[in-house]
Amino acid sequence: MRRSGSRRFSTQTLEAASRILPFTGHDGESSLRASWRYGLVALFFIGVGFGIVLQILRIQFGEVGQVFREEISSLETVYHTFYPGRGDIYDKNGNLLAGSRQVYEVAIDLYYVRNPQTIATVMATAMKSHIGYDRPEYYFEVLAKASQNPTATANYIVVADYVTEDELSLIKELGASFLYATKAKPNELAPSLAGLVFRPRLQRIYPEKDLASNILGFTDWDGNGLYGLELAYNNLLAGQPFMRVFSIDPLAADQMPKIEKGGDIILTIQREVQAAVEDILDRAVRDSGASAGTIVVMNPKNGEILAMTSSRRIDPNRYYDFPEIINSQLPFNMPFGQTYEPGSVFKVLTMAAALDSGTVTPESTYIDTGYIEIGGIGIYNWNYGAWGEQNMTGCLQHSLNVCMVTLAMKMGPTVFYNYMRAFSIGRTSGMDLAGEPRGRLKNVDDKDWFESDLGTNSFGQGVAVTPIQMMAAISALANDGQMVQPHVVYAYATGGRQYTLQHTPPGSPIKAETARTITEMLAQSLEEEASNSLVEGYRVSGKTGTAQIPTATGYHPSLTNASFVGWGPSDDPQIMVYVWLQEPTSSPWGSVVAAPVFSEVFQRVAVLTNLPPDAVRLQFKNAAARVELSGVTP
Amino acid sequence: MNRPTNNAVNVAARKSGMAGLEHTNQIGERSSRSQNSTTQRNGGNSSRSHTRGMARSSAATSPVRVRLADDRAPWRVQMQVAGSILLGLVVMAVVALFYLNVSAKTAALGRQIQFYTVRLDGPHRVTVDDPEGTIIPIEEIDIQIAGLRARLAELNSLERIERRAQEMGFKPLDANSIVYLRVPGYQPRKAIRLAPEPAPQVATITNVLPAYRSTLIDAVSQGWSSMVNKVMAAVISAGTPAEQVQP
Repeated sequence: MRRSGSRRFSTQTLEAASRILPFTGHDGESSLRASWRYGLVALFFIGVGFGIVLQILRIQFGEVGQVFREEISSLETVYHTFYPGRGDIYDKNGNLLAGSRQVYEVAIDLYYVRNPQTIATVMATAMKSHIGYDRPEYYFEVLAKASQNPTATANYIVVADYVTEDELSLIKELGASFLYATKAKPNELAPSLAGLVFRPRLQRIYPEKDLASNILGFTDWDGNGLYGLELAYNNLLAGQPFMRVFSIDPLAADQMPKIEKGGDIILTIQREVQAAVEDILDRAVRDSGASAGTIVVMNPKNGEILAMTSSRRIDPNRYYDFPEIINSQLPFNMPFGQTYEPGSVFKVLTMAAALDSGTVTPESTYIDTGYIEIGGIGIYNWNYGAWGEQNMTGCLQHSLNVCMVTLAMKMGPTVFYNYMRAFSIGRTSGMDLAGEPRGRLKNVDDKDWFESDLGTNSFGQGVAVTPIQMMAAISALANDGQMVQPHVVYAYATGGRQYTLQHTPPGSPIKAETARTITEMLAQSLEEEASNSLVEGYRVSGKTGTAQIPTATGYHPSLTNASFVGWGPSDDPQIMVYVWLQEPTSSPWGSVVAAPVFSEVFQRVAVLTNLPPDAVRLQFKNAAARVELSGVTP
Repeated sequence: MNRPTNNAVNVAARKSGMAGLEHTNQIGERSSRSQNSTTQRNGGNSSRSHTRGMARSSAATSPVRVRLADDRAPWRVQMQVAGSILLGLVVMAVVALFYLNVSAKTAALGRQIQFYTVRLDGPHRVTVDDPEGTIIPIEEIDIQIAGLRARLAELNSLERIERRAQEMGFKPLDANSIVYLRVPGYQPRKAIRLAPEPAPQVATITNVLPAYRSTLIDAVSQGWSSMVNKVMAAVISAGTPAEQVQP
């Protein structure tokens, strides 16, 4: 029974197995045993697979995985800040004054260095003419760097920067010659430049060298503006650096946005005019024996600076070669950044105030005794002489201090200082450069103001202004009573658009009639004086200035500041020139050393800006008027 | 013994008739099991002969039942199971293939982006020719353009131009040697323009023809002018001697 039962069980099991397992052999019992074996193997692999999955899940989500996650999180992303290329600076006609050129940084990737001697030899050979690397020690410095063992934190070492295209080409040529080099001796390394790498970068360059360097300023090695426009417009020129997060996961890599370079600037400066003015100034400083000099040329109609220079100029490409200028106490841009007592050129403002306030007329006369007392101090004329009866034109022509003091006293301090403030004396001009000083003009309410200041201020002593501030004030005389704001930036371009700057006129301190009257008076005074400032073919208006230089103990007995401000053509002023020669030794007088400079500058600028002589211009003007009247279209 | 044979099943099915498909299916299923048992008992006859036997026995009863029995043959069920599994595997493989393909391409592009990113800010090797050297990132091209612009400016610098002009015999212009000419319509040189102004460009565009925009007064005045001109021309031509008329 047992046997039968067992047999019956086997049969039933076999039948059941045959129903469950579709692929059974003909021999049911052996097939069943085989099926169990298969099942065990399958269970084994299923168990192994299940275990693997469990381990994956444990690593992925368990405590072990946390360690890996923390480790990878510090490596999966890289932060990098991109600095866009610096914008360019152009003159008004599109000549590049400040741009960028391609240079290279050469470095060693220590992981790949095979032969440090080769690297040192090639670098020393290629850089032998490069300032800073033209030293015998340079070879050993490179050799020491290339012989270091790489570490996790230091495997990239810069061995040369600002390498030029030619120098890099030489390095590449030498490197190519070593590509298939073999060992010279069994115990030596084969020559190789493996590990030497480079990457391009931009370096500021000034193609015109020292031209307009006083205006442009310069940047440091890292491209940060230090002086002039480079400093004042650093944010615009430098562009907006942006930080980007990079992932090491290629699936997370994203296209990098276009790096927009910094904005470009277009100046009101004209290259040819600037060069001519700089040339004239250099000669004037040399001929007069002045310690320094300044010339500014401006369009009095709109305030555009056509040229502006001072005798301290450097090549911005090599600014580091001029530490005596960089570290000097004197400003790099004298006409903009240095105040001084202008002297007699200031008299045009006093006369304008007197005429505009109705205190005097051009025909008003007074008896010049050569001396006047105000606030307890005596004022003399420049030659200590008495000039007798003079009208207002004579006052300007002979630059009489006593006359100016008389006018100021007649106006009274309130009227006089109100006009001076209207001329923005003692304030900044608002010019678009960095670091403009305010100047100095005492007010009646100031504790250090005395009545004598009214007298000295009337002829330009005891006030401090920059040449640019003087030009801004005097522009009202040349522009029908309306002042202009001097500026050097015509427009800037950024984001694919060009923005032309519009400057609001600072004000109208005098009436248009007054401006035309004093312009005519100044033209007459120059003509009657047969001044050195007269320009052949052009009628000009202007005023000389000779100012003593203040020191800690009073005014210097012999040194002066010689100045001249003039504009023309008198009937339609288009060019205004300011000349300032500091401490001239050939002659202390502005009429001798500064006036001829004005004449030369005006003549040259007129040619370069296509301003025809008065006769030609009036002829054209009349012809155009006749055509307009006749209605004939040419 | 208590299991019905195929014939018995067929007979039973015939007795039950074709009343319903569900019932027929149950019969078919049972016949499939009995066929399996018969196959085992016969010591492994081929399924083909077995099917023929079924076909013969079914042919005597009903062709529908023969087909049902044939459809439920074990090898067909096994093939269906295996086929379904394989089909699922194939579908999964195709999906995986697409996924892998897309992922691989994305990863390749990502690597390329990373390469250029590194190339932009990273170093170039001196000794090894760059396999991607012919493809230069825009940023490097910008650097090259800036460098070329600066180089051009150096070549066109005023100092260099003046020196070259003097070598060619030119000299600075003297104010007295200038002859000024009045040129009607002359436009003085304007400042350089690096980019367009931001002000929007306003353009007036109309598709209406002038004839449709003229008023009645315009039409009358135009017609009047035309008529006057014709009359005047006729009068002038009538008063002009024939010999004075130029051909």
